[in-house]
Amino acid sequence: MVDPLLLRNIAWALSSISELVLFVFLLRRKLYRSHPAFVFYIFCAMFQSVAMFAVYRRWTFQSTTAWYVGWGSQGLLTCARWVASFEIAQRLLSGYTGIWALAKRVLLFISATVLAYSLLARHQDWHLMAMSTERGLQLAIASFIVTLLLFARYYRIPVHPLERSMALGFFLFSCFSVVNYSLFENWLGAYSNFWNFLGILTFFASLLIWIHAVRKYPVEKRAGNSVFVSPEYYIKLSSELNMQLRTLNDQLAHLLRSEDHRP
Amino acid sequence: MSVTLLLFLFAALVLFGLLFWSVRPHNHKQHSPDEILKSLTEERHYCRLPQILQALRPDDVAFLKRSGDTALVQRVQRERRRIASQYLDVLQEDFETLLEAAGLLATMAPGVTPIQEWERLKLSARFAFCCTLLRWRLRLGLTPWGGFGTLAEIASGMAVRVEAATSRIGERASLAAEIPSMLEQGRGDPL
Repeated sequence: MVDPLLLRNIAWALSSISELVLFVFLLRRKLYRSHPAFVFYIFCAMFQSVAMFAVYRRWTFQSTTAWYVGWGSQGLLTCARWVASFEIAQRLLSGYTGIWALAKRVLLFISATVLAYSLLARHQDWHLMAMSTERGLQLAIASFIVTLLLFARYYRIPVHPLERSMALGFFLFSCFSVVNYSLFENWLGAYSNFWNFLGILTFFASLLIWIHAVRKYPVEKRAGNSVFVSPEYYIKLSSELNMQLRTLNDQLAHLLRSEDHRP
Repeated sequence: MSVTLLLFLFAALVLFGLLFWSVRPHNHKQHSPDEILKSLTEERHYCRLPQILQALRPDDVAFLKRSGDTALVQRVQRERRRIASQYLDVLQEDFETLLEAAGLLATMAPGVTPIQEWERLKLSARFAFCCTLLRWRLRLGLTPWGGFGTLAEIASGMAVRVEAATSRIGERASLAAEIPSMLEQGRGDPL
């Protein structure tokens, strides 16, 4: 059987190379202009890889220094990931002023609620507390992305392939991280190398999605409307449309409640 | 297995489900803003349905049953089910047109009212649920046939009200003329 440590190191090397490749593509395509937060996030990820390599070489994997540097940089990276997710939301919705104003509040509220709940359910052990916090942040990011895509679907707002792939990459990594942390907390405590390998593998998968997207899809201009209706007009027509929708609904409900007559 | 673990795994599963739902392609035809605005001022499909639905009155089948022709009764029942199903399709189409119009309106509003949007979300969820339930009742032969007649009458009345509401779009004809072309670029194929 392959040594989990070897697997972890191979996965780490592969993901570090992929980070570099992605960063080069991002620079070549000048995405730092349109997606500065995403470029910054990838830069942070690269920086973390280098920093962790240096720390593991200087100290051991189990050392307290490695723990501090590892979780500290992970916290910063997760914040950068959240900012990059917010940037995707902004690119998709900010052109629609009214929807963006509503979506921003809903997205922030959902993220904050999920994070608060996750922190309440955090582990009491000091060493595992950092992991619980990280899990809460990851779950908040995953919820943020799903709510964003639901918003876009509900209002039939186009999601450009580049932004969609970026969002999918973030979602997959965040969601797998939540599962991974939860499994570690309960079962994989004794297999930290294997657990690390799984974590790196999911990040590697996200990197491949992003490389593919950055290479293949063009950067679209921010979608949006330059034509606006007055707030009064919106409220009037919106109420009227809601009334019609309600009438149709009431009639369907009436049908369902009415007595059955077999033909 | 701890409750926390189950909770987090469940949350991840739910998020995966919602993600797949949100990125799946729309199963109905996408209309351009021009088509949506136009369709609001046009005559609704269900205006003609009261005549069709008159044929669904239970008296006809009762008469056929008395005559004892079982094969004919079954055929008529099948036909009625098909018509009722088509009627539901048309209602759903009208509902979706209204929803699309509401969505389009929200994209043009400088500030949307959360209460209005929330109510619409609740209405669309309720409509989808009722429609599915009614379709199942149709399949199982439990359809409240009498109710369809009532519904048709109300629906035809509703068309007049929709027209009255959307005539305000006509008042802003110049805006309506500009909107489609300006929105077209921003409303390509969603996902």
